Amino acid sequence: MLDAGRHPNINILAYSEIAGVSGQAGSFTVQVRRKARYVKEDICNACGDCVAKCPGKAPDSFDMGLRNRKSIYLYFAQGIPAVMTIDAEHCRFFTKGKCRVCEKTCVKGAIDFDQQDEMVEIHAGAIILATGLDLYDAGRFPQYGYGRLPNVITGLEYERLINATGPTGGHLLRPSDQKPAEKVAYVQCVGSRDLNHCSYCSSVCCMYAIKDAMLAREHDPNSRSYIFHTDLRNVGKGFRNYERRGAEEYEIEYIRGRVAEIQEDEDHNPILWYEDTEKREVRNLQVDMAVLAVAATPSRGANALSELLGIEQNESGFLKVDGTAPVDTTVPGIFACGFALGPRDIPESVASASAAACRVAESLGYS
Amino acid sequence: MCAGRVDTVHLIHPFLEGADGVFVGSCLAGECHYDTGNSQAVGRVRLVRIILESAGLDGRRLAMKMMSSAEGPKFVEYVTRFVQDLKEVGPLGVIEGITGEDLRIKLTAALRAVEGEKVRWVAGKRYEFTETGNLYGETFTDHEIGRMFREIVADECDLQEMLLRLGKEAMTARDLAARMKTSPPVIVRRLSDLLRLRMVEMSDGEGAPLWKAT
Amino acid sequence: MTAPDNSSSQEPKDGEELRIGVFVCRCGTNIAGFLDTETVREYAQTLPGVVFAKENLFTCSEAGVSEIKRGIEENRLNRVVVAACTPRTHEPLFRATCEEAGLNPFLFEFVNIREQCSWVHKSARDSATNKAKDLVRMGVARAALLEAQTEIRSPVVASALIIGGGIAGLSAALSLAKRGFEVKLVEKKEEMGGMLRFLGRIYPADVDAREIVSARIEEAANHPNIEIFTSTQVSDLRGYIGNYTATLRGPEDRSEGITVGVIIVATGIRALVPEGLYGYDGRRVVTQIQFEQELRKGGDLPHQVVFIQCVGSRNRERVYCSRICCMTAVRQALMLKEKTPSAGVHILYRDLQCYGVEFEELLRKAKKVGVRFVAFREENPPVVDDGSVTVISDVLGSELTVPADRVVLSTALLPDESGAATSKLLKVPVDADGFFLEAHVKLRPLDFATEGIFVCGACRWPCTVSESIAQALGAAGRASVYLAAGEVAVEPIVAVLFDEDKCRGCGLCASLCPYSAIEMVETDSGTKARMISVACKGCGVCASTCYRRVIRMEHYSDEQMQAQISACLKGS
Repeated sequence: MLDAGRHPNINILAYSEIAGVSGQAGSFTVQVRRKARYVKEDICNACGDCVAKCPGKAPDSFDMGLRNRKSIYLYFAQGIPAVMTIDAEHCRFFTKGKCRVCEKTCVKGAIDFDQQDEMVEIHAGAIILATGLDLYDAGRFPQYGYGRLPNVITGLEYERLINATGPTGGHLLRPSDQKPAEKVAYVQCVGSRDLNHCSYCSSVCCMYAIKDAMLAREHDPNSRSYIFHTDLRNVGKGFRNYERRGAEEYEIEYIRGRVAEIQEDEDHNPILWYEDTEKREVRNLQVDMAVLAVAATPSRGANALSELLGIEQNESGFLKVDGTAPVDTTVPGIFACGFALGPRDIPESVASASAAACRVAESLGYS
Repeated sequence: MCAGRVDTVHLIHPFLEGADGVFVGSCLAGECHYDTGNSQAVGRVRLVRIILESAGLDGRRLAMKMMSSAEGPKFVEYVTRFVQDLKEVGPLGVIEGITGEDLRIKLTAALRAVEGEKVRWVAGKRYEFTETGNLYGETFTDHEIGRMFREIVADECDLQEMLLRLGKEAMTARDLAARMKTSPPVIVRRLSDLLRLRMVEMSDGEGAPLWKAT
Repeated sequence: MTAPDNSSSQEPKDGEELRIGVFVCRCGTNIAGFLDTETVREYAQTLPGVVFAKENLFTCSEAGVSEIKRGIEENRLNRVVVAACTPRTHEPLFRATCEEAGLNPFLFEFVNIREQCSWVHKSARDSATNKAKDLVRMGVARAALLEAQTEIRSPVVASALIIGGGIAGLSAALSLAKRGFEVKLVEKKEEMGGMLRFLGRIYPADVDAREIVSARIEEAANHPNIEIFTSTQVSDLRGYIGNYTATLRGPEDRSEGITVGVIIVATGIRALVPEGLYGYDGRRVVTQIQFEQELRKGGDLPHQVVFIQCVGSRNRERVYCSRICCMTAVRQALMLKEKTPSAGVHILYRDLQCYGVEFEELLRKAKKVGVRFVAFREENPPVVDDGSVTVISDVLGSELTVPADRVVLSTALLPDESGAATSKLLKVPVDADGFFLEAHVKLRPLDFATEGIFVCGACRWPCTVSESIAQALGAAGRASVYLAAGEVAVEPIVAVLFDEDKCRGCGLCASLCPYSAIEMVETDSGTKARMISVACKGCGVCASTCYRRVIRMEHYSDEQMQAQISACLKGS
């Protein structure tokens, strides 16, 4: 990210959306809406003085709403470009008409309450889509109680909890009482491989559940992990070894079987009901916290963007490609990479990104 | 700068200049930005700790920890703990009972040892010994390597210390042994080795020969 | 062949007076709010060699930058120290500023008194000020010993060597050739095409494998920029990025030398021959590849077919999952059901690895047309009898015997035999299973740590045709960055052998270098190390290892580092 930010040939337009595209391969004209940050990008150096003084509060979107941030904020510490943004929905000045504390605080004069969305026109020979993924709505599984049971969280929320820069400083504290979560269950295929939700396999959840469980143990030697899976999918390089290490060194229990329902006791301990396929009986397991491996879906904006560009999607909403031209969309001159093309892990995403860059060079005749 | 750039010399030098402890931080195991630098550093830190201990100094004075660039809090935790440990151990040489000129000689001997070819060669070969095997295809465990290090290094440090002391003044083997807190026969054996290499010379003293570095 | 010239460092002119300028940034209130920058500036002024010290409101602003330039010109500064934020974001700016004012950019030293000082000691103003003074003193001590350096450049021959003529190698070759680069495509077999020669239809593309590969072979054969060498192996390789000389040994042991700038490895995979497993006989009990031929020929197809998954993989001996055999089994089952809808097909599996969108769909389709799936556990493998297979179903918990005219073994996929030799020749690593090991398993999947050599396709890890083509395009794209630039430029923070006479040619440095940036060469005075500066990344492992202490890291020399450490310990 830093390298991209520093590269003289890369111009980053963050906090921006595609508003329109015309032209064809070799000469596209793209309208980009640069959303108003109410902060001048070229002046702000993300010093944070304004954040310290801002009286407004909003849920921290980077931390999955697990804590609050100020109304003027840096999305996350290593973010590029390193500039502040005012969250107009939660800003006192925008909502109540009074405040402007940040403006008074900023010695560089970077705050600009009059900033408007701005349209920028870009001329480009080719387009690469790398729109990534979003999580499926965990609230659509009433049987798992997400949103109702405080100690049932999603995999991404878990990532923030176990992260040293996250809301709990990297301590695995459960939301209901901020007590350490020692016994953790991981529920796989929540929405994935399910014709009622996402018919496909999200491909990355089995491995991240194992990683999460290992992190928990590295953090707390008393931690116990249970992964409830259908097929445990570990096709990548070194994955199977990783799974075995998980069992042998980290004592992760892999349990084949779908979890039917999650309830909780009076202390908000989740209780998982599942079928033990070995003993062929319905059993339950009480844990401190349950982590849902919610299906990964195409990015929320993917449909609108595809329509705008006139490119085709498959039934699951991922961009359509021919297997022998794996990064070419259905429109010449528009290429794609990463999760936008379908579920894949980091190395496959990076490889497809290099492929898309290569196809652009080919299509523009660069030598 | 990569931890792989950290030389054994860099680790000893600060002690000579008055440091009470040295801390090396590196990328996480397996995630070295330069591929193998951190694992190289681990070996060198281990070697220097052996050297410090063989000089009679507390091994806690040298620490190495691994962390990623996104783990600021971890860095703080490690450094804080290291500083606490150092406060317990106290100023260099005090708890160890080695002070003043003795301390300087011990550390200078250690520095000469790690600047010398013998110890550098062994340190460099560590990776090969543990990972790919020696000339005869034998690989060694960390424990075996540690033992080998200890012998070679202790020998070399003693040798350097003898030369340093005998460089300053001529003395008898008994006096030298007393200052170095070792047994006279060991010193005599080493002296006769050094004599053959013309690194020391002998002159008549009262009752016992006097030795001096050349 | 000689290594590129790296004796570029201009020694500071003898007797030249040291004139260091120090610029202390207030960063608005970011630094000045938590420590006393004026005190730091005053202190800097007293340090040895410092002739000028100035405070800036924002050193990185237009005004700050011109103050540095003016400072250099008016005070004839020959070293510049900026005490401000992090080199990660602003070092390029300040280096450029020095250069614009006529000072070599490597005579600049950055001291971080924001992230590593003011921001982390916000409630301890005096200590923070003292620490900033310590940091500046260290920076000044190092700056005094800095030497001018110039960027190292070396030309790149606009030609690529691709090892392996399967779908990956062909796809990479065509991509590079289309862009006007010369390609030497080397295949050890008599015929191009690799694994795909043995396959029928491939999914999800739903195309004939041989058609795809034949079309590409023809295109490559007719492309003026591609030279194909079949029945040929690389027998020797010398050189470094931009300038490799390879010897190709072709039919009848004819040798030919070629020169290329970059190399792509695409040596592919093979399937394990399951000798002694499940009664394998190549007729009744066959491999997936053999069954593929049977399906392709058509004619009388067996009526009861049982697939056994994970043959020779996911076990003690071979831990890994071969990634694509579940999908191949499902695909073959579907093809059989298409031709003979009444056929009975059982797939005995452990975990079905049908990841992603299309393969999960394929799996559903197979279930719909009546393919039966039976899970078993590693400890209870199926037993193949005459005409039937018996398995303990993990779901039913009981024994199940299914009829079988044909048993298909989904065997482990192994790296092609040529991988090991290629690894040795190119000095690029393989993992414990023999697959090539990339520079970074997540972030640099197609690069080797050695610059200028790339990897794609199944030799890196088993993959589908689609994945293989994507990797091939990716590797071609990565390689083309160097080919298109025509030269490699390297920041001159590299290792140099400063006293070749003292080098004993022990080779320790070369064996430890993770980038193959040191080669051992024979000279009139014996074996010596030679640094390949363009391949050097500046990790410094060689310098801190050399037992003769004759390797220096430019810009991070022992003297520079020790001066910094000594300054730290001196106290203010």
